[in-house]
Amino acid sequence: MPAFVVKADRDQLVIDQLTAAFGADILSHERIADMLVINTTKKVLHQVAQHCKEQLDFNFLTTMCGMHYSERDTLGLVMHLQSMRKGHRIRLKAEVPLREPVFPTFTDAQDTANWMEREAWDFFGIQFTGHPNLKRILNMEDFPAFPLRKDYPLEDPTREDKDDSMFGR
Amino acid sequence: MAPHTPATHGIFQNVLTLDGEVIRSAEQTIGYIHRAFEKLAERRPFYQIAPLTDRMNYCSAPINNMGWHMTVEKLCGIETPKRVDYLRIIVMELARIADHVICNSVIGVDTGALTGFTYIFQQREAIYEIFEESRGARLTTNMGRIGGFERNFNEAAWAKLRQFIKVFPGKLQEFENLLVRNRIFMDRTINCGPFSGERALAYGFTGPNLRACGVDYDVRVADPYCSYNDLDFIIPVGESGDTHDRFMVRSQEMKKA
Repeated sequence: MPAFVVKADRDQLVIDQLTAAFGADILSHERIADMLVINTTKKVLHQVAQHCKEQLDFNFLTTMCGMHYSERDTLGLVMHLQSMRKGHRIRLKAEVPLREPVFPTFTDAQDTANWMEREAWDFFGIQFTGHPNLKRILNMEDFPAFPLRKDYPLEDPTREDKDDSMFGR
Repeated sequence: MAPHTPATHGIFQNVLTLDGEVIRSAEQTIGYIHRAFEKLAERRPFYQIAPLTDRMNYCSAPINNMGWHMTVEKLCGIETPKRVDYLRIIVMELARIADHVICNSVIGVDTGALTGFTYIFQQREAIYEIFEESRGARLTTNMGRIGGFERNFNEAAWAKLRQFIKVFPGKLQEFENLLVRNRIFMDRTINCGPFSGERALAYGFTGPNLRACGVDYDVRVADPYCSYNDLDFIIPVGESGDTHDRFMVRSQEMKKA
């Protein structure tokens, strides 16, 4: 079958509603494969997600993760929202500068966000104001770095016994 | 409770607050087996990531494998032929059965009934023999390729598949007869760990665990991938979301598969 099916009318509805409600804070939107991506700002990300949940029937937070855009020196937050009744999924994105990586927590609206935000803190060093228990979730507690940032090396830099040059690492 | 293993390779630590023998609260420490697939994937081509996806759930390795290939096809806009789609469905449903066999037989072991486990596991072996025949590997098969498969099913694999389809329903029924209406099993699973539909959605349940809570959502129907829309099948849904319902949903799903 074709690689994907686009739900253009649902996408347009979401774009129209969000632009009407948040105006210039909806920076841009694009479609990557079958999924609508909405770029917004840190200021309104929480309200946008809340609006999607309450007004647009996006009842399920599929995933939330951090991003590190090393070329722009920013950290991003990506949320995947899903509407089970409408069979529709969208992605929300927002970016903050690397030196001040703070987002408002989403745990007050979705319990799932609790562990997802801890993971984003653990691996990217994104802080969430208002999170009830923001500490590392997968790495050990005294881990010295945020390992999924692009500047963290893949291989342990102290090892001398491996030559992986042929695998392009 | 120290790092121990509530399920194989799923170890986590439970930090408990006790009041005598009553557990007042528990906090989980997870992450003992975090393998940093994301970091590994940062600098590798798409096809080198495929073997990693098998390891995400090694009980049903081909499903995550196919998921990865379909994602890449989506990104590149590759259209797959019907034959690939149907072969994928066959492989994924076999993997689903293998996984549910593990879940449902091991819940029997955990509640004190080892016998059913030893019988139904022969059927899991039959599935792995089909994989072995077509691919040469059993557990982590790395079977798919972007746009299709590494190789076709051969005649022996089809023969084993036909044999499996003939034998399995009877064996599953035999296994269920041992457990479903068993008084001890019922006592130990009914009303054990129930979840409401709303709570399950808020906690991000998916798959059979969500359906056991009475939410009739199955991605194969709601957002069909891989030509699942060509097929006609029934989605079993539970009611109270307790362990017994989770068991029954998985059991029914095996029959529908």
